[in-house]
Amino acid sequence: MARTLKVFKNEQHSTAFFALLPSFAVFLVFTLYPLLYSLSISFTDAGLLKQGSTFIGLSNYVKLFKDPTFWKAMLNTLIYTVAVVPVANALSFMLALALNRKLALTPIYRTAFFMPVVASTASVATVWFLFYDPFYGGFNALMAKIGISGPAWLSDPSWALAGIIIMAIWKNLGYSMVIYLAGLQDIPKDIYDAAALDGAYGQRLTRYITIPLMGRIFSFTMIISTIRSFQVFSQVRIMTGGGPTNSTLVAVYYIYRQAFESPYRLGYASAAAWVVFLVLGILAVLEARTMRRIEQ
Amino acid sequence: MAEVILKGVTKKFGKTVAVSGLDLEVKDKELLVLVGPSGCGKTTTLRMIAGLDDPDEGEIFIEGKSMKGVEPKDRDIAMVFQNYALYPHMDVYNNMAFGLKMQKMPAAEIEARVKEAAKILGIEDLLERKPKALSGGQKQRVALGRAIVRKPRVFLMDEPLSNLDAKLRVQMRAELSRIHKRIGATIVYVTHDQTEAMTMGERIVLMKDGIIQQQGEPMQLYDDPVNIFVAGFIGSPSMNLIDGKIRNTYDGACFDSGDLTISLPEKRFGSLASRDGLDVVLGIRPEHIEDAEFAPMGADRAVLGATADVVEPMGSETLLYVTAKGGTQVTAKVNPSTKAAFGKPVTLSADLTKAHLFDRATGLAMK
Repeated sequence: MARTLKVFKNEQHSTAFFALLPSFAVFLVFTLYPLLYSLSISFTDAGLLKQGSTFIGLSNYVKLFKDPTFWKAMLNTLIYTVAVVPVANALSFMLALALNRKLALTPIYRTAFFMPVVASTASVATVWFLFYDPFYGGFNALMAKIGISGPAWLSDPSWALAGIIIMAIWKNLGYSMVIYLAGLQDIPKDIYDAAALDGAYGQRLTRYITIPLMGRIFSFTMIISTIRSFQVFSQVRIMTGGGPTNSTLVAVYYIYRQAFESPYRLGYASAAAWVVFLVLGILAVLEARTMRRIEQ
Repeated sequence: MAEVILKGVTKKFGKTVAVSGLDLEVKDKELLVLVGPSGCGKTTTLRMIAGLDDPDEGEIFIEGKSMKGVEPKDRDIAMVFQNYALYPHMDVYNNMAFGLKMQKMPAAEIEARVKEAAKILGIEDLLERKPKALSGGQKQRVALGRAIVRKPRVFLMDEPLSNLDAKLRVQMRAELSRIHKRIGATIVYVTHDQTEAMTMGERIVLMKDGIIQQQGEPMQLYDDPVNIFVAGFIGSPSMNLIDGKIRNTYDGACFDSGDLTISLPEKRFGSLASRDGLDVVLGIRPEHIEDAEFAPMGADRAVLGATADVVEPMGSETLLYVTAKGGTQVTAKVNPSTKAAFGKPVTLSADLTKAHLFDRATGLAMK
């Protein structure tokens, strides 16, 4: 038995301390330190290729608010989020309802819908990039069969963001679906039996019993998927590089460009990152409050 | 006439037979109790009447109409579940009103019915609460209220009192009986608790392994159990069951367990002359064994010397757990003034006119 250190009240405390130490160390080095560091350099003119930095106060923030490209990126991110979150969640809830039955092929379908979540965004984006090709891609070939001439997708500024959104919905379906399935299976069978005797069937059952009982799960998935949507990056980087004409430029990609493309303005990128962080924080809190109100 | 009839109903889950060839008749306005140990098929039977499970064989009739293919909601029945199954997101009022809303009943009538049921159950001041803010007993009343407002032809109750504490259970038992008389409904009540069955049932159906063992009025099952299982299940504490053989002696038949010899009065058991040597089980209820000091004298009593292992004074009576000669364990319900004490010898007197004999090979009562 290990000797208990005197700083701890009892052995339980010391066990907890040492068990938490590794993850706390990782949090300290890779989350808290960079977070505070980025905040501190957001007030400087720090650069990736530059030695030393000068304190410039709120200049980065002022410049940021005056940059129309930043606002374009924020708007695109917002459009992306508003399109992806409700549609993906509604579809995955419907999928979960359909797959919450014991049918022969249910496990296969569940796996099929979850596979895109597991696949790396980079490889999925590459495949979709090919699908979207206006001349050789699968989409327009399919549309041509029913007599529609498809758009130029990723190279058309009015369609590129839609292309990114459609792929994101498809890729994220399985994630929320799994959470919804777990939530559905958590509803006691007795309640469904009682509802069957009360005359709640099919859509009425979903409307009056299932959906209200899933309230907390909805809150959780909505908030998580809003956060995930705000962080969209890989598919933009691979499929469009933010173009054409910034039509798919999103917040995180904007930050990346400021920091890692010429003129490598780390301080400015950090300021942008903090603004995005704060906007997302406010959005998530507002969303959580609204969901709680609906729940009640 | 809301009678329920089951004809040859069988239900299997995989290879397990939950209910086998069940024939049952629930009369109009009767409170019938289905009782039996866990897994005896009583809940399955109830769920089949509700339409939540379909029988594999046989048919169910309510008011003479076959229920084949009739959805639960169209059977005009209400069910009270063991875990209450209240809708957690609705307040008490809406929990009770939900079924009526689904029937598209006018709001005014819904309100009248909910208020009436709430009054019967004494939950008028709880109508705005959510289930999580209710105690077990209150939830139980709401679950009952949800059934009452529907004014169904048949009530099905699945162990509705099993989650309540002992005191509340006794109270609700009486209340349920009262409500039954007041609303005059047909009730099928499932329980594993024989006390509940005895006190509430107008008729009891005792099941085991998906098969009815005996049905009848409570006292009929108590006085004349048809087999060893019924004898041991009904009554609390359980009937003493002692293995032995029938031996014919010069002054009539007697029961011989090797250590105990008890003469079997002819006026209770008839002539047992032809059964000499038969393996039997003698059954005597604890309440028919008295401390010899307080027992009346009589020819049809057997006197038994034993050592007291446990003495449990209950106030109105005392339970004695004793070991008789040869290690036979016996339970007796005796006069509270008994002087029996732990480890001390005690003499007991059993009333043989109330004893039972069972054929050990078949388990059936010997008449």
